[in-house]
Amino acid sequence: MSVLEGPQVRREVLAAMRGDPDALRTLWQQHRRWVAAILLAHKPREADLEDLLQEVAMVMVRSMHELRDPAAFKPWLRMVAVNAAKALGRSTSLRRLRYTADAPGEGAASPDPGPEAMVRTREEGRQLLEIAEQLPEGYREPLLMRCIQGMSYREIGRVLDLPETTIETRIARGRRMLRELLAGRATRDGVLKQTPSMEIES
Amino acid sequence: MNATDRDVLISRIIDGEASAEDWSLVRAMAERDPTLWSELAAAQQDHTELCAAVAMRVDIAEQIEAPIEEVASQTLRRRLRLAGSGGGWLIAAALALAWVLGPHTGRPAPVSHGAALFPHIGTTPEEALEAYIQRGAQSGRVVGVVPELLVQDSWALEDGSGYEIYYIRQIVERVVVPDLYRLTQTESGELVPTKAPLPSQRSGRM
Repeated sequence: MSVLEGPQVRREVLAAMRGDPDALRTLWQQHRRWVAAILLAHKPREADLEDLLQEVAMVMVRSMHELRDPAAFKPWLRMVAVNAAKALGRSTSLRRLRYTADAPGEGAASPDPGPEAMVRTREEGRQLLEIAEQLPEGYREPLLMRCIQGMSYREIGRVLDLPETTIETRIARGRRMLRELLAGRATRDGVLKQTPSMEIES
Repeated sequence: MNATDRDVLISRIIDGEASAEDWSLVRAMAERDPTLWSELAAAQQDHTELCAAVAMRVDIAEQIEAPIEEVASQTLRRRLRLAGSGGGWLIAAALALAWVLGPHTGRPAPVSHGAALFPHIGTTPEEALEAYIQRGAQSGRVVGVVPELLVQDSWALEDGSGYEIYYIRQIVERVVVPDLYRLTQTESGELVPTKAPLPSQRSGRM
């Protein structure tokens, strides 16, 4: 049984709703990594992830008693994270760094094996994450969450309040978009375009 | 088979969710289009690298703890501010008494070893409270109990067995202290206790 699901989690949510400090601590520790993934999916690029996590943790502790349905905990916590990220985006004048045609795909791969391989992988991973953060919201959230603690389609669906089949399709389509964008096939004029293939499927 | 089905199959394999039927489909597709294997390998590599990058970024979450004490402290400060602004300085002074004098003069000592050590206070909270009020009245500490309970919050229990109610019980007490403090706000917004001498005559309200 996952630490994110099951009767024990429900008991902890109920205890946290009553203000039990130990339950609040445990709940936060169990869920903070996927909260971080949600923040990555929504925060302005220049925003500090640590600050946003602290903000979400604060709101969770302060407002948990307002939650009325323990089953709604994960969608509720997700909304807290999304709101925190978007509020920061609204309040800050941000320079939008745009995905350019030559940025993600070129210059990263090196044929040299050995110690450089790790650096290359990190660089490619960073570029992939950068592209993933530019995907439509419906795709980037499940795609990033899938990387957290091996979250299952079902667990991701609980957080996003969507059926497992929808999550599976969006992850698959999101990966397709990543590959296309990485290869530079879906870019034009240096700016990521919203193409018909990027419309949200449910 | 359309592109989405192909993507879903590849994705299932990456996530370890592919069934035997899925694998049969993939093999059949790869016989017609061998590029499927390289596409699968590339997708697997992208997933691994993306997850490594995500893991590195979200590792910071492990250092962020739930700010239980900070929120409790903020709540207390907010209540003190509300009491100071809404209830007049007398209420603020009463809170300051509890704050400055601590638990020794403001409330009964906690029962930490069970009722067996304190047979005179009874075994239930009600009996203990009644004992406190009686002994407090004898010593002059307890002046009286306000009959009304101040309801703070209430809601129906999930199992339908009743309602949960949070309330404040009001006990009027008297204490003699060498100094009286009231809460004042500094320029930075901090509440600090400052001495607040009163005239020596009684207000006559008690």
